[in-house]
Amino acid sequence: MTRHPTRWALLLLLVPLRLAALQGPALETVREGLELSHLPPVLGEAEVRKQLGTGLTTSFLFETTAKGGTGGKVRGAARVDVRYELWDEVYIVTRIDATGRAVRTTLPSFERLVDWWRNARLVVIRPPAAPGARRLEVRLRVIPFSQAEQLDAQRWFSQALSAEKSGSAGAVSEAVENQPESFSQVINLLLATSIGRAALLEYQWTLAIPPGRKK
Amino acid sequence: MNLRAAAVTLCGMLLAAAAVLWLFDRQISGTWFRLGLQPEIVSALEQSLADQKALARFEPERRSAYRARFESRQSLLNHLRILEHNRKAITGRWEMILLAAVAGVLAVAGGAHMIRQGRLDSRLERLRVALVALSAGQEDLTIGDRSRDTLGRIAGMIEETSRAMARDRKRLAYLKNLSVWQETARRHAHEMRTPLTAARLELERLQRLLDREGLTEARQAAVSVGEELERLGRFTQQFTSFARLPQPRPAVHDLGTVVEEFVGTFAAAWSNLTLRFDPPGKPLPASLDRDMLRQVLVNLCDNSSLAVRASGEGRGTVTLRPREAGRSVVLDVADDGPGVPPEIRSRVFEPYVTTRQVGEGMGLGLAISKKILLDHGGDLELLASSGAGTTFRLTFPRQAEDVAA
Repeated sequence: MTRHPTRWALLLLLVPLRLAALQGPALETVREGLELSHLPPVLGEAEVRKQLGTGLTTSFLFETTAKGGTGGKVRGAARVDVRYELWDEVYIVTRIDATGRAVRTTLPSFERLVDWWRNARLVVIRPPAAPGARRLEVRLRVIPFSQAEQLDAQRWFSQALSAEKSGSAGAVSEAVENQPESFSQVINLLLATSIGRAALLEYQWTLAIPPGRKK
Repeated sequence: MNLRAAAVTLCGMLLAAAAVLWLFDRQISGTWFRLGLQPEIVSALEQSLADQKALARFEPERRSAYRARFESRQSLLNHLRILEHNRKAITGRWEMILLAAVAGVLAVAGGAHMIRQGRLDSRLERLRVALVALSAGQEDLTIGDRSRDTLGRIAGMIEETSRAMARDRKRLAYLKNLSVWQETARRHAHEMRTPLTAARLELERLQRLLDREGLTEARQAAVSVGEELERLGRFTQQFTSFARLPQPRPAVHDLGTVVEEFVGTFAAAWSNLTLRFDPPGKPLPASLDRDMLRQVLVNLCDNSSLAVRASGEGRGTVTLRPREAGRSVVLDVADDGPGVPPEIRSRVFEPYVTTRQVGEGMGLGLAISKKILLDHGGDLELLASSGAGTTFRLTFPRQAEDVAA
């Protein structure tokens, strides 16, 4: 608990560095709505590259908020999931944006992934929303694994703590085994649900909405 | 409750709990967690993945088996990486669970302590109230705390003290009252004895003169006067006896044996009474003066005999039943006579209270008997009286059996 102040101090130091290091995406107004392009080169970050190599599904979550319009704040989002298939050594990319379409692409190398990323376009807010908005706040969160992987890990962890008869959990003390079932389950549930999807990295930009968007 | 002491105790408990928590978390839980996430394990799994792929290339026919093993290892590796990513969150949650458990234990302990302290305060308050009542002279207090702990024993002692004080007060009041009567009797006896002696001497001289003159009729009248003077002398002697009651000289005797001897000796003393001895079944050592106890028993049997005679019944029975009663030894003397009239039951031990005709008795017997028992450190009580009989209880202080032996 005493580590929290240190963590916050480090975050305060790191956030300006990130902002300075990464250029924000471009924003365009297209027929489908507000579209992000020239996505920030976050794939070049060492932590991201290392994470991509783990085989877990890395999610790049763009959360946007349009401000300054007559409709108040309007929120939107888009997501890119990247999973490196370790056996086949290919990148499986799934893109989901505000249009509602999910597009899945398989890329044979990291370089092709970088190319794809550079050329990707993500609609983050659909046209009827945010009339007259002047600026768009974009927040990018790099999440190291998917919700399905999170749930799977929670289940595995809970089973490991419960020391089920399969023995797959490995060595667990007899004290844990001898605990009353309900009490043990509650403790396991509490511990397992502490596994969350905290962002690996976070970035934030504020972009001016191109005039063509205004009507 | 002393708040400062409670706060110090609470702080101590919290510090101890925090120390145990720290030790458990850092040295036990943390160690297992670190062991589970050793970098060497991750490296070994990564190497295993690479090996499976290499093996699949060398043995294409077993590719599916190697892939299955590969995916199994990868799944485990993914889990470990997710755990590593959540290490702080999991340890934080674990610390919270431990804290909650410690807080729960402390809350339960604190709650139990407060409830116990509340009950203790309540019992102490009852004791305080009882002590105030005791100091104010209230008798026969009942606190109602029958616990076997220290406070319960103290409550029992206060109740016993109040009962003893009540007994002593009654005893003192009775003795004061009796001493007034004794002083009165002494003065009456003193004032009567001198003229009575003079009257006797004059009567003797008169009888000699009448004998010399041969006045037979006058001589007869002088004899009658002499008899009346004798009767007056006996009354005066009773006054004197009552005024000068000797102090008992108690010794340790077995009450059962003493009573059995009395019944054997006096079995034929009252023609209309049958004395019955109900043996106690075990020795009853008591501190008593045998002669004075005999005097009391004779007095009680006299009363029973007269009562049976007055009722017109032919014969009565007096049962003497020595028993142990708590810290005392008691002797119940029960007859089957007509009982003490209700109007004098409350005053039966007062001097000069009697149901007999004038001239048949002065009503000093029970007063003298009670005084004897009180002088023994015991008591004489009217236990019960009805148309079916009367029971008196004689109480003696109990003596240790080894003393009696």
